[in-house]
Amino acid sequence: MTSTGKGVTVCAKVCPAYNTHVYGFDSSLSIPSIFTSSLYTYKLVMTSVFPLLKIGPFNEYPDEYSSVDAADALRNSKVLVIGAGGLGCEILKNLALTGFKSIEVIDMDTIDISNLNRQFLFRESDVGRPKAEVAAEFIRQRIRDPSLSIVPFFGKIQDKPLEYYKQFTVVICGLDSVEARRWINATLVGLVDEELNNLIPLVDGGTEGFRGQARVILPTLTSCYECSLDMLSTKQTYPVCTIANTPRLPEHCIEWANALEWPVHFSGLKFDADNPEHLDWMYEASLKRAKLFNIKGVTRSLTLGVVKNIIPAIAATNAIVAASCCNEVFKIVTNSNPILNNYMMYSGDDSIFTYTFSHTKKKDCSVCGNTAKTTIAQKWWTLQDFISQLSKNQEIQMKRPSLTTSTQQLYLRAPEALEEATRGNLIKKLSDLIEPMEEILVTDPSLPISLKVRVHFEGPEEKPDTISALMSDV
Amino acid sequence: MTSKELKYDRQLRLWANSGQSNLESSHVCLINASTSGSEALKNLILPGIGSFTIVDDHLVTDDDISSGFFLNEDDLGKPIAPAMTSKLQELNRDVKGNSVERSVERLVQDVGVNGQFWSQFNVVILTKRHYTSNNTVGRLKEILWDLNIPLLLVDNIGFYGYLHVIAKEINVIETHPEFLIDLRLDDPWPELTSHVNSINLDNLDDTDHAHVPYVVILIKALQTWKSEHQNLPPQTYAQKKQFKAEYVQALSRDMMNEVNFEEASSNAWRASQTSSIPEHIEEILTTVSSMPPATYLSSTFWLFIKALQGFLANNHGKLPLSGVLPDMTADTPNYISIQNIYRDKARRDQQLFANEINSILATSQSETDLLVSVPSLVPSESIQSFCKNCRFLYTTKGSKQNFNKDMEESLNNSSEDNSVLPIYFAMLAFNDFKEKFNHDPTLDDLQMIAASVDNQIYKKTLKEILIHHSKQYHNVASFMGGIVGQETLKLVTRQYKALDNLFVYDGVHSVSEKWKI
Ligand SMILES: [Zn+2]
Repeated sequence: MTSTGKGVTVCAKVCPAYNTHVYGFDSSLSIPSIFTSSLYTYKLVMTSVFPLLKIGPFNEYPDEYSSVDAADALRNSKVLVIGAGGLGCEILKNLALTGFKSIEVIDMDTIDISNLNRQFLFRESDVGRPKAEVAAEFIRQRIRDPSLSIVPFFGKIQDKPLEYYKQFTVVICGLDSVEARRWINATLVGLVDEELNNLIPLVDGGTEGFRGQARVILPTLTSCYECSLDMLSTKQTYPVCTIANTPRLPEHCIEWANALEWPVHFSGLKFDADNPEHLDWMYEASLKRAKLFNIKGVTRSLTLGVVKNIIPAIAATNAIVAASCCNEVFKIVTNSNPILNNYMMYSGDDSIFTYTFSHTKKKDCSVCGNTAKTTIAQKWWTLQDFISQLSKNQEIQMKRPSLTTSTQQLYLRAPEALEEATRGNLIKKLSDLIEPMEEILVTDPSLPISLKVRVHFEGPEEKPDTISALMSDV
Repeated sequence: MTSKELKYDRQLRLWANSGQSNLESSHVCLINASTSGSEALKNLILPGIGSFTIVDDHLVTDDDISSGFFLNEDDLGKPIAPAMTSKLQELNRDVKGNSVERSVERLVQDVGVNGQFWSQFNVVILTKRHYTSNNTVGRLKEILWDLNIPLLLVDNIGFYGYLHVIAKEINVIETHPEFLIDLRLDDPWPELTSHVNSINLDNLDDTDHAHVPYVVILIKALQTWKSEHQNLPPQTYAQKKQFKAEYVQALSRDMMNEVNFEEASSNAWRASQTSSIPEHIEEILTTVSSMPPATYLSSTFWLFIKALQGFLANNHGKLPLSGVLPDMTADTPNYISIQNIYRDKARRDQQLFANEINSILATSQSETDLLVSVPSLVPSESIQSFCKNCRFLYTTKGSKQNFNKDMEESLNNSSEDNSVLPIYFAMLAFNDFKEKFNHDPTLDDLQMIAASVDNQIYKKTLKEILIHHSKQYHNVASFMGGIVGQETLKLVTRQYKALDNLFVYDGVHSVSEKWKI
């Protein structure tokens, strides 16, 4: 294919690789033909992106770097955007306006009215439609660039086969789900082979109110998402005895309605916070409870916040974090400047503050590490006790773990027959089932992760009788 | 919940209805319809700012549509201000958009005529899309300074950007500190003391004993301690340790099982805290002492501070109580009754504080020589908010300078590749070149520009700018638009501490720094 522009006629396929000397970007008037496929694209890249591809003083590979390769990489790269919400809308816009031509976007959600205060690709008339599709449509209609392709997928990332992910140059995540992030992180780490083939960088962004973070993960080389699980803030929880017997805060009353009353009144019906009738019931029940105990402050908005575990969000923070992430993607793909190594925290609620640091890879990371995690168990613990401790562990956080050793199946969630066969182990003492420091393999159906754990036993053989002794030992 | 509450739910959790109503009555002005400017406006229109005005007298060029999302091919050759306004307006029907197709040069020339134009805004944002001469920026600074309207100067070139907030004064009542807890353990008022005294720990059964709120436990322990230590709280490290073990933990029947005593023990340090006035509040009070009535009467913040002075004089130097009690192990009636004691005291303090305001207003209204309009009524929500937050007030004074001596010295000492300060000076130098020669500098001008500062990093940074000179790199423009959006939101909601006053972003090394000029 031949393209023309400003007096140069070259074969687009050949020129980037072989004619570097002719189109050395430092003579700033020459325009690489790859950008001249349409007048619009030419203008776009020429004016705002083209100057950025020249070799600058901070370039890390001055001997190998070529502006034309960089431009070529930009045009040929394939970027996967996971999430078309607050961050996703920004990310799609940023990629489309910085020279990327081939983008896919995955999101399983439909548009809700509470998205409109920040997700600027959506209007009131779009409420109920799939986010990924509306977002892609809007960008295409605004930026009428025939060479720009944005392919939406309305569904879960888990629906795509492993092979699908291999086609991307880089994956960029703007998600609010920890589980989805863990899944894509483990998947990308799993793709890398011993010769470092299929190494697909993962750029991850997250926000909460005026705060957020951007990070770059080079699977198997740098710290991964799983390595930093313990940095996640824990969800606020309340002791059951407080909720059931001695409520003091409006939140206690709402949790009572949510966790204790709903299952009693609507056995088998899952509570749906987006269903106004469900929310009404929850609010009324919480309010009644609060009145009974003279507790003030139960509102519909607080009820919604507690039952949905709502995280505040504004457009400005999303813009900051998404732009940081996309700047890293731009640098990763073009090599024009050093990339973030590997974590930037942002906070804007008390002046403005950023902290950039290198998060360290964990040797016993269940995804990218190769040594087993050592965990402590009481000698008197049953397998059930051990499993519930594992699920709570900040560095593990598995909801439905299955456990096996090299010689036996300790407990398996599926298939049904095996669950039945292993269920009896739950009430047995762990220390009777395994040897000290024996390796246990832990898996969870929702995550492509197999975690190796070694157990170090301590404490008494028999369960102590007071609750406090139990608390202090755990 | 109304449809508006649903739409704005995620932000109301940050600044509540009071912040939202301040936002909805605000008007922001953008000078120069740049990409960073349109991105900043997007971040203000989505959450529902009252109105915005774009000032620009240029037509849309290729360059404009190259990186901006709020313009496209259809707008080519048309006036940029209305074109961008119309695309931004689509984001939120609740927001009113205006465009002014005049140059900022003209708008700052006749201050007498144009004074009214500028006074309608709460914040003015100036971006560098088109060159604005130092002279014009200087005039604008003066006009807005006198009107006490913050001016946000934003610039981005290549991978770099900065925001400089020029404001005469910024005052914030709702700074959103992590905790508003003020227990007054050192100075319980009569109602609290009599409540504590009404509880006899020895008479309680084990269940009730394990549900006495830790505030009660600590006040009892402190009473005993003080009676044995010349009425002084534990002060030295050894004393604090002794207090915790022998006066707090000793009251428990079973430290392993009584969670409330465990909480009392881990909060024992609070008993040594005094409820005296924090240093920065003392400073604010000193400032108001020397203020003429015309000054403090023209600002709610300073009126409140003046009233606070009176309140302190009449209340033994104690600040109004926040009334916020943290959650603590207790049964419901015990907790609610002590919570009510804190809330009632806070309410009484608010009433006394309101009386101070009224007496200031009454006195000033009787003085006829005052030229300011004296507010006749202060809403009770504002009084509540002030009293609740009065230990965490924030005030700062700005400057019209572009940099200070300290910054110049630091510039000369820059030695790391990721030093951020040279970026700001390099961007100022880029601007000065343009002012002098009427065109952007190129790499050929590097030696000449770099000559004024003897620093290798500065030179390297300048080179980075001259090579990667794109002024519309979308990622950095959008990043800066996000920063400007956040700062404007803080300024117009009058909540959270705003940037004071220079922020510089380095997208090469993904770091940032800030300075106070
Ligand atoms: Zn890892």
